[in-house]
Amino acid sequence: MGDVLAFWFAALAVAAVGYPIGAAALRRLPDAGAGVSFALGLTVTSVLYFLLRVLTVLPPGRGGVFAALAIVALMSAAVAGRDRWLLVTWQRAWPGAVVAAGVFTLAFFSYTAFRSYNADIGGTEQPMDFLFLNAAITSPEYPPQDPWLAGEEVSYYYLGYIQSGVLTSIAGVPSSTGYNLALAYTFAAAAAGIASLGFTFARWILGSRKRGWAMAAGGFAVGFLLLVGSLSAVFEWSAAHGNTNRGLYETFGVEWMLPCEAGQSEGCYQGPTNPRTSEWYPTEYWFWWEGTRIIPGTITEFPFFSFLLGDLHPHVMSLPLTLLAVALAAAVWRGRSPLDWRRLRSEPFAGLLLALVFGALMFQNAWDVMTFSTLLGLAVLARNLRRLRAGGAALGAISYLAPVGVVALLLYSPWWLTFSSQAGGLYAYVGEGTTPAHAFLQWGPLLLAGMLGIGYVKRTAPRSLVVNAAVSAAWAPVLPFIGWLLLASVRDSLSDGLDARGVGGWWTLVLFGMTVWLLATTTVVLALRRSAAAPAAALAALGALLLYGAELFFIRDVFFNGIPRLNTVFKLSYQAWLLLSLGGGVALAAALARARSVQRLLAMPVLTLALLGLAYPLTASFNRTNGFENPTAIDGLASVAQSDPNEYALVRWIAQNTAPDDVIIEATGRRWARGSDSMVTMVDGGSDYGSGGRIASRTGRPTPIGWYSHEIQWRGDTPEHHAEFGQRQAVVDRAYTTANPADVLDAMRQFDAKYLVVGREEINNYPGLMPDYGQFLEVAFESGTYRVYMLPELRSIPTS
Amino acid sequence: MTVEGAAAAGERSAFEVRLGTLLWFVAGGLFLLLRIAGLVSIPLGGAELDAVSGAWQASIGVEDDRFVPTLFQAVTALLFQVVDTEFWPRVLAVALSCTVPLALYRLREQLTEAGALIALVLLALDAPGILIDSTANVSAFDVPVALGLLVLLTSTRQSPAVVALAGFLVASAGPIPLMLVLAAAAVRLARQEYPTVPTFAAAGAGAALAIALSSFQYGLGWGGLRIAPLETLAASFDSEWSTDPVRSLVTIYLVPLILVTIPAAAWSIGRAMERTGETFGVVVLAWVALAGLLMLASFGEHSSLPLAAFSLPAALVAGPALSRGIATLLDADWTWARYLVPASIGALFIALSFAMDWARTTSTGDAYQQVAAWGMLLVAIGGVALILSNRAAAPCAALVAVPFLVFPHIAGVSGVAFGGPNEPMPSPISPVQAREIRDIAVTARGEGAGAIVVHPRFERELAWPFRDSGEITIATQPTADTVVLVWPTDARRPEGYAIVEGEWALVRERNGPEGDWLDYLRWYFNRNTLGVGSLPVSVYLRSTE
Repeated sequence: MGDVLAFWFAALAVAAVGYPIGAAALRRLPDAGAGVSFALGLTVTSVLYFLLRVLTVLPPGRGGVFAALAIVALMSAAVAGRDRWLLVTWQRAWPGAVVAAGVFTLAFFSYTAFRSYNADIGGTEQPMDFLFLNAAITSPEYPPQDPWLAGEEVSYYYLGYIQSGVLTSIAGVPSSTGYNLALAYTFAAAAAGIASLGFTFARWILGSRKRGWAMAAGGFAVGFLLLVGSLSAVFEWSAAHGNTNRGLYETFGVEWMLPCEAGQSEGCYQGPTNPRTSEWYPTEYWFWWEGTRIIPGTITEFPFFSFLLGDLHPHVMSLPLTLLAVALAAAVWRGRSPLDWRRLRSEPFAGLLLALVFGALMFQNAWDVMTFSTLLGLAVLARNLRRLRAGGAALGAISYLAPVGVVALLLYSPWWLTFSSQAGGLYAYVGEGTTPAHAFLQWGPLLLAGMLGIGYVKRTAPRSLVVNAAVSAAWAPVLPFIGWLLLASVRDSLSDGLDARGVGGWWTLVLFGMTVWLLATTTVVLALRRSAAAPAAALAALGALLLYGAELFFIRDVFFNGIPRLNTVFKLSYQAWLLLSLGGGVALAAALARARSVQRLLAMPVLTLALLGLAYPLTASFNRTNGFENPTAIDGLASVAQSDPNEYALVRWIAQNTAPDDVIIEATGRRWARGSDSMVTMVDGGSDYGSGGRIASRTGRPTPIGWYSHEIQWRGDTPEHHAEFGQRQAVVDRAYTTANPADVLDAMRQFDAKYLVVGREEINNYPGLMPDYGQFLEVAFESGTYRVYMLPELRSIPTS
Repeated sequence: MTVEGAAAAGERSAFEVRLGTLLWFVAGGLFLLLRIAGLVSIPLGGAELDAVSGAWQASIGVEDDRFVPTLFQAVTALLFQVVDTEFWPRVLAVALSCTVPLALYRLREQLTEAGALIALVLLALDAPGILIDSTANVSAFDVPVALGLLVLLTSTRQSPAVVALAGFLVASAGPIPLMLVLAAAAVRLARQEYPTVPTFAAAGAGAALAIALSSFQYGLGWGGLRIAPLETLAASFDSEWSTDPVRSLVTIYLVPLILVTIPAAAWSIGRAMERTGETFGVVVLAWVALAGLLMLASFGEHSSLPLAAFSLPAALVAGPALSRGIATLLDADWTWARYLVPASIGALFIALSFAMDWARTTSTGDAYQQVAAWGMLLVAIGGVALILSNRAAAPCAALVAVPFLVFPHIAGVSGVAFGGPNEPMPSPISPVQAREIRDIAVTARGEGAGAIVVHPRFERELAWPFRDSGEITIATQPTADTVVLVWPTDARRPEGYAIVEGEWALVRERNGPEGDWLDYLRWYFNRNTLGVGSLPVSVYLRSTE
């Protein structure tokens, strides 16, 4: 409990330090940005820590982190001193700040309690996330070293891991605990951020008299973002209790949940059928996984799934930061005077903050930068259009944003200069499209809630204005489609694309396109009428546009040859989820707030649908925690300590007794065995998602090679990389399978390794193949049958 | 206040002594006495062991991460060119700490005379402060520099040369002055009180010079960009500068000061809000808040530095508040309090004597004892409640706690200052044995024939005790010419070597009480219950047969 309290306090302290900076920029929000100050304080501290570590100004470890936090506190004091409105702002905004802290606290402890039933850091890509977190905390140099590729720097977007490492360091908790609490922080900061923004947008729309509905908007937005899940869970739940209607299941494209019929072996449920579940919820192992794999060839993850699974991925950790970006864009839009280079010169602090936050999006989760920068661009343009003609507004926006972009690039150059992007260009998607049923199951409640925003347009709006807006907004869906046609033609795949999409795919495209058009029209009408509802509508429109765009295009990456649009749909739909949650939550509350109106009538089924969406978190959380009967812990390595205390002792010894840059030889993850012909052969060549590089993952100590395929993903699928990484695997495996001590010593010297580990995985992966290391290496640590060996040493040192 | 013996007789004496002056001399004398006691008595250990090890390595041109380097450590390294004990660096540290009473004397206007005097007494009786002021640790200059800087901040005329010197000293010291700088900067930035360009430039130039010297490691060679206060702060988190964690050390040595500082800070905040134009009090409050946060954040770490970093500003906050508190006490209604205070103290003492017995026998006694102890405690609480019921007498209630806070505190202070063998601070220490091992090894090697071989596991620990021993071989196996082996006790006995009988240790650790409150109580009343551990080694000599 002490660790949890320390982490919670650290998060609040960082938010408090960042709040004055946010209050200056987000004064126009009712809580002056208190809800997003968690993200702001942490981002500013982490970025400063990163930059000063790169410049070697700050030392590694907790001392460096505290120094960075102290500098941010000074910056805050300077901003507070110059902010003549601070006192007035605080007198108005303090209730909002209290609510934000309350929402954060409630969400933090709730999620921590939930996670404690499933605290283990293992499975899926959690070892990878743990690796980056440990690298961020322990790396002696910055940019941090890649523990799975000794001698190389991390090539990934890793700001989120630095942020988690900063909080872990301030709290002074072990990284294995920090991992789980960083998840809780992300959940809570996202809750506080979206609650604040939901309240803000609703308050702008509804005014101060309907404060209760504005608060409800915050609640709805939190629910949509962090709780609502795929409607497929309703079908799972029903099927688990044997209530299946084949026609209905087939209509919704979830026939794979139905029991297999005679002769059928694929695309159906093959587990025990009588009974299928022993509890009120589905007990099938990880049934909730399928809720994010309904659309073939894609992953349609949503936040509740992310927090249920517990992977500390960049797209998850970026939720608070993206909400901060939305808040800044909203504050920019809400301002009055036009923005151009003169304004930037007179208020450089505001520009610097934008550069810092929007540049950080790139560093935290590269996919976010385009979407949310577009939002900022639209906000600046819309603001300028209130006072200037179109040409002047656009020029002003460019002259304001271009320097901001340049500063962002300069600020983050230490990262992107060492980052190897695997994006291979924009392609037209010419495969099977998403069916309307699948789209409905995944995004139905959010899209429909977002569409309630159409009701913002009052009947009194001039018809000509609406018609003009509708015509101009039509470009929003049409232009991408033209782009798709051109791109597909250029790539010579237009006819394939027209055929492969399928009827369902075309229908979905049309429905998405219509939604984009209607919401874009609404946004334009509202913007032209200077309505405070315009930003909420714009968010929903942008969310729908992302889903529409993901049906038409994809970014080429390592999955190009098999499942080309996997990552594009995954990342863009995740952003859409956030935007639609916010836009939808506000629209739902606004519709419900209108007594005796059509909007309220329409809102009821949407609300019902949203409640159905809660079936997923309800059933999945019970399934994940075994009905909340799993043993509880918050240390992510507690299960290792319990199941294999010697392995745990070995990990702890390495973490406490070796230098952060000591290279350690450990199992590559590949399994070897001696065949009947006495030859040593590989019996399992897979290194990823398994035990390969586990010591590096748990301690941050570099090893020659960890997860091979992930390194390929991060650094590029080139023959040179395959050759180099393959050679590393071969040398390490040789060190564990040779009878010749010289091979072991050569392997250690080749990688400048000081230690060689023989633990659980080495004994499993190289059974009976390892030489007697004790004959030529020193035993540095021993626990049970596990050992850490050290290279023999012989050197002289002076003492006078 | 003056003592004018002759004045009573209606004429002025030629020789007058202000009582205040006398008290300043007494408090200053106490401060220095305890520092000098520390100089000669405190065993070499904790942060000092790391500091002298690093300084020695630097003095012989060996790179070592324990060379941070602060100015004091650099001077220590320079001294090691001519001496090879920690005594002279300690003398230097104590000599500079003589400026502390002077600095507080200069701050009488801001702290009030009585407040400054009480602050000096609190600092004199501060165990972590004694440790930091009297030993050759990397932060030995920190307290004098921080107080000197505070004096500078209060002065109206700040010549560029002095400001540059201050910048230099802050950037070449440990983290304590830096925290004051941060606090002062935060307050002044928030109040839009910006330094003039010449002042800023002078401070920057001084700091830049210090950073340059640190980066060139005071002549040892380029060590990358090194900023001594930040590196010392980082080292205080990462190093084992004490065996017990900060939370234990705080419990043992700082509880009375914290109990005084919290209400004092609350009173000071109220006063600062009344006097909106005053900066000094706000800066000190910000400083103590920062130091308190650092101490809180360091609770799990192993260092005594956060304690000293806190006790300095805490004394500055507590001093004026206590002086005010004493005045309030004198004016309080003592009609009933004169009976209730000693009665409550007596009842508490009886309750405590039961608890002491429980602590000795490690069990909480029978029902009769428990009822008696709880009864006495209730009597004491009742007495305090009665005192508090009268608003005019309420301040007297604070006196009930005084004996129970002061006596253990004084015991801790004297234990540290006079090098008591049963204090958990400093620890780990370099025992005399470590140097004996070195003497055995050097004697056995004779005139350069053969090698002294030390296992790599002990490389860091041998830096100080094996200083000035010629060349040492670090190896995981004995070499052909090995004559002496300093070896792990859990390693196989090497063939051809005879063990030197004895329980040898390179480092000895003293663990304070841990566990429940009875453990602490037992230790308070019987300090002989301190746990002792060590880093044992085996010493082997080549067999002559």
